[in-house]
Amino acid sequence: MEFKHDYYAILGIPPHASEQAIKQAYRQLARRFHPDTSGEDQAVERFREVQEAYEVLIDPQQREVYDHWRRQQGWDRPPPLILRLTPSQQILPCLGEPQLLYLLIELSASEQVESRRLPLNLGLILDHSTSMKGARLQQAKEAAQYILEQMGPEDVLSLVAFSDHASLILPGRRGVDKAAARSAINSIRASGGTEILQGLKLGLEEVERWHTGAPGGQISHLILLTDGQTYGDEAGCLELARYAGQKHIPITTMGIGSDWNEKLLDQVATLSGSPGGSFYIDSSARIAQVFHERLQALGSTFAHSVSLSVHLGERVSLKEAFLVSPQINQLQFTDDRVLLGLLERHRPQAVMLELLIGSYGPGSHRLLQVAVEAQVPTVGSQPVRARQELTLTFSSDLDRRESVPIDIVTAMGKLVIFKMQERAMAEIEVGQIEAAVDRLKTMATRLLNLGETELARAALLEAGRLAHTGTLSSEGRKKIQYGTRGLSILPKEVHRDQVPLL
Amino acid sequence: MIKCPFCNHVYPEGTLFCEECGSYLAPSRAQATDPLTDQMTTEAERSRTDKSGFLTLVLSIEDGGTIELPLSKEVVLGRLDASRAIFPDVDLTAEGGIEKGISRRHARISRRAGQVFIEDLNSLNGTFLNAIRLVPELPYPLKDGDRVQLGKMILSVHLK
Repeated sequence: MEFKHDYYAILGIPPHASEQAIKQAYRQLARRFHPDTSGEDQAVERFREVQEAYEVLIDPQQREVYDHWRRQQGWDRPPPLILRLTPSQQILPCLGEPQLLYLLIELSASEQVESRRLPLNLGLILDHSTSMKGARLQQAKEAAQYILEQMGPEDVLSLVAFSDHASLILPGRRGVDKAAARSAINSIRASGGTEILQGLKLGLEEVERWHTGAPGGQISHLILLTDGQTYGDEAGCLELARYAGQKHIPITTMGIGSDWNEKLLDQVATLSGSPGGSFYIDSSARIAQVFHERLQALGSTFAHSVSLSVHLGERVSLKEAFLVSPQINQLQFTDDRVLLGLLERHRPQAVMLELLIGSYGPGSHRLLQVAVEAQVPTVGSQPVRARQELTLTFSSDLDRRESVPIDIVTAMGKLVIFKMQERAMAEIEVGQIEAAVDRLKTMATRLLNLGETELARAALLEAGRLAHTGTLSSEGRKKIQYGTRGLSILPKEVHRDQVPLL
Repeated sequence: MIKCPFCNHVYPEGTLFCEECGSYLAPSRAQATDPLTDQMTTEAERSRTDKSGFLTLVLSIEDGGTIELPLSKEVVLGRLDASRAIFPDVDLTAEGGIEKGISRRHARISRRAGQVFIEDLNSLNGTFLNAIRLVPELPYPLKDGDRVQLGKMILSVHLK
């Protein structure tokens, strides 16, 4: 039998409705739309629909066939994206002054999500300037070869090599010609200066060519690897990154060694939809590993073009927002929205909002609404949306404070170290060396408290260097910056039901 | 507004950590005592009828004196500061607490179900148990003869 209607919706009942519910709904609607007595618009049409729906649903055999058809259409599937909001308090005191509320927003894949590896539209942009000579370029080429080997018949791989100009080493093609690609990659030599804009432009162009029109959906992504500073074209790079963000083509930026501009690479990443920022590769030996990890991440990506919107109530303002998982980085909302890019099946993304709540009277108040939009190719081509409101109770005679959820306390503990690190870097920039030295020392203590001994040591070392020479070593600086970003949330084995009394 | 107990910076109510020094900010409202779960009350009863009920904590400070006190439920070690209303059970100021980097509320030794634990209370210079630095706010089992270090002060712990 040919179906095309949502019979449950026509009768206004849920898919698991009982026979009695079906009969009752039918009686009501039949009476309402009966052509002889109804004054309603399109009564004849509606009545016919109701009849048809009833006939199928009331017959157990026909209903079973219909339900099966519904499942095949994907109509009764639970949502693929789980959006969870956890505020630091559920009940707030009525205060005459603003108070701070933390909101942890977690985005994860539901168990129903298929574990199919989606086709990739991947563009590699490799720096082959003179400074990459030797082990660096060698490792980069090997990493590219590795990625090449992993590509399947449905994947598109393109490769751009750049120094002061860019060349398309491997034009994109669905189903790579691996033999030809191998020799093309091999032919890359180190020479020239560094102009990232050239590489970005050509790389983006190539990926954009294949961006739409893949049946079953695909993940478009760019990976940029560089070891140097670019001069004069920063603004151009940022503009391109913004454009990539609009098109939902996120760029993973990676810097190797210590001479590259982390600010620029960070911005290119975040503007294009990689909210975690850039990656730091400390030695050429690690290039392969990082590329491997990125490819794994792309392989387990189930949602792309993910964006998060937050609509605040009148008396609520956003103080700061951070990505806290899979790594820590500050987030900028533009027009209430932030791009989160790709979502992996086994790695949820978590965002922490620091909200300033104004004066509210006693009772429940709706403080804000969080909405997520994403493309989940295994579920269809229509965007998937999830929405949740945060409504909290305000009380004027609150004599006790509830315990703050431990997840929020631990996340904030790490976040505050990240903030101190950013502050210290800013102080160094404006020449407040003493303040920065103190801050780095305090950071080291906090890191020790968390058991992060290596990072603490690095911070102390740099604090000493800073005190003596007035500058940080570029390697030490990157180690601290990227180390604090990578502070992971405490494992859940630490069972603490509540924040201890102090 | 809440004030950071260590660096005096002021923050709106609800803020969890001081952004200047990273310390945990205790809420200004008193936290209510949460009702004991059944498991906890049975444990309490068990420890009450426990024959090893009376326990004395003996702290021998290296190159210093010895402090003996009964350990009924818990004992807080630190430095007395009347202006901030901090009155630890064991005040180490006289033993060189300030020079040795001891925080006002440094560590806590407690008893639960016949076991003794030590916990670092987010002290600035840390608490070490047999040379291992304790993760703050986590209880670690304490045995007779253990070596505890608060900041730079080394103590031998005996239980009798």
